[in-house]
Amino acid sequence: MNSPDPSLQKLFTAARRAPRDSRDEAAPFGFATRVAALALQRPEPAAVFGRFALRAAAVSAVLAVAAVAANFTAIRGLVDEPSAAAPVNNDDPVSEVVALGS
Amino acid sequence: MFSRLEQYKGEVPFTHWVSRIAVTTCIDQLRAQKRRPELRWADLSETETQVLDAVITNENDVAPDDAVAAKELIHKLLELLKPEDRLVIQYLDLEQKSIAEISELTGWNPTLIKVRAFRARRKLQRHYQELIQKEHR
Repeated sequence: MNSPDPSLQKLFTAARRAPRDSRDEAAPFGFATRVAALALQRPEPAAVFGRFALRAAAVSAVLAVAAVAANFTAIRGLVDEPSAAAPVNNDDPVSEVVALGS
Repeated sequence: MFSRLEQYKGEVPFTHWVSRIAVTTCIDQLRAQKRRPELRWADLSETETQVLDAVITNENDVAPDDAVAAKELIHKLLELLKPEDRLVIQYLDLEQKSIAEISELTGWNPTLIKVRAFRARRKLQRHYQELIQKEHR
């Protein structure tokens, strides 16, 4: 040391004789399990949203199928007879004359 | 961290939580250090006081049983230094590593280590003198 103080030197010499710190620095028993349990206890927000989105998609699909089934007859009628479903316009005299001529 | 585990809510990844605790603990320590930038006899334990008294007054070496107290006392003095200075003294004077070993461990060049050690020892010496003069005034 620079301009060593003998008493400080003695203190260092004594400190060097001290055993190394033998305190256990390892995690307590079962720490990893507790961490994992806490982490899994509460799912991440993204996972919650994903699960709800999947349920919503399934419900929407069921509703769509039910809607088609309920209106199946009407839809089929429209596909088979498009002219029957078309409104007849009797207010136009010109079209009436053209129709008679053809 | 072990004692605060129950506070972990699982809202953030565990590694983030751990690093947050580490940062907070370091900041608390630095604040405490800032509040008490000097060491007083009142800060020492009974054994540390005895050891310090022994090295100041006696010609004899410190008893082997008091080695741990001497180490604690040295660490309290080292806490008054900047982290880099503390590290140099720790390696050089406590662990008795060579300049080359310290250079390898820290990445500092040998000249820097020598300069830092010189200044750190001077500061440590000053803190030590202040401590013992306060008591023997």
